[in-house]
Amino acid sequence: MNPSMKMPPPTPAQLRRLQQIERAFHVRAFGEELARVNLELTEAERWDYLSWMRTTAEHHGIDLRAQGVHAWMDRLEAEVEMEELVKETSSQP
Amino acid sequence: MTDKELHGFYLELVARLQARGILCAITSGLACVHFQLAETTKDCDLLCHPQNFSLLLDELAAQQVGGLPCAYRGNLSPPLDERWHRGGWTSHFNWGRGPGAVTLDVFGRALRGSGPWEGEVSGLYISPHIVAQMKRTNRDKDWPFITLLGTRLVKMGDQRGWLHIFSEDTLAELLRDFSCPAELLARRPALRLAVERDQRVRAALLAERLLWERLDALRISIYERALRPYLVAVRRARMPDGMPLAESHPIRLQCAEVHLAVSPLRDYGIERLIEAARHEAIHKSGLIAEATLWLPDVRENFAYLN
Repeated sequence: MNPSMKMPPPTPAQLRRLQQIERAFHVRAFGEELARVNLELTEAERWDYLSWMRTTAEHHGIDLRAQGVHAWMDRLEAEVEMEELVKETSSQP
Repeated sequence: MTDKELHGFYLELVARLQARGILCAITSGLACVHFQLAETTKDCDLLCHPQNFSLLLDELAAQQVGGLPCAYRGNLSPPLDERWHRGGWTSHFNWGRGPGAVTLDVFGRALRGSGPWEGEVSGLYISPHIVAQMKRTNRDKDWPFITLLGTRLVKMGDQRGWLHIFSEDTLAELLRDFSCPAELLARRPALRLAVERDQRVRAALLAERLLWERLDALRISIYERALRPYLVAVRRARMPDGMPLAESHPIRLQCAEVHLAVSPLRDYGIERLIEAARHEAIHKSGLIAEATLWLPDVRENFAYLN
């Protein structure tokens, strides 16, 4: 990091204020429940909670990878696979 | 593999890679969870220095999960090779297939990173600053994470956090108690408007986000066009499922050398990309023309392609 971007560590009062600001955004963006998960649980507890979320989502048929960074690649691969199959089928005697 | 086992597997894998001297770090979703931001990802995204790719490939080839070997993901993954990663490509691996697959995505370059990521590794993870830059995508779900990574950076004493806050309310709250360095106000017009309590700050933040979204959408369309002939070539090579990495990697390299442009974004032109994204972000979105003045200079975020 560029040293000019480093600031002195926040005082206890500033830290409390930053935590309030952070929490307020968590609640606005994700709701009270996830604010608690993110700000009050340990990392291990947060993983347990996420595990429950994923299991529940998958149980209801939600594909968590559908929004991943390679979603467009998966779509492209499916398209190309279909095009190639059509070519192969049409070139057969 | 349970979620807990999966998480443990990724951590152990990255720790082992680092112990072998491979410069690498976890980024994206798993890093967010580490930074107190729950994200329901099951994939591990790994930044790895391209000079360590052959070591990484050896490690992956030796690593089995539940008796399954590591393989390139489908026909689509570009090879793990410095030439293509310098051009902004990424490589994708998995152990097994379908919803239960264990997946690893490797980035030689931090996409949209404004500087080298190698000095920003802390333990197994990359810094929140790099994660926040990489998350500037065209996916809605990424944006609240960016703001929270920004507030976390400010909490850690890293002023670069100011560059990542996209919430008008959060900016106003922060500015009540903290001051933003002049250097950053010059780099990000929306920050300057927030400091001046200008009512146009919300529109400026929206315009900036739209710019990043359009940049990502255009980037994807360029890489998609470039990937298609390579994908066809890899498919026609008819590599069997589970082919060992040591055998499939040279075949992918051969396909890439003939069919995969090394740096499609650079070929397209960075200035051209930025201009097109700025146009789409403002004019096609119905924002007033003045909003162009609120957009930051994003050229440094594509310097990784040089």
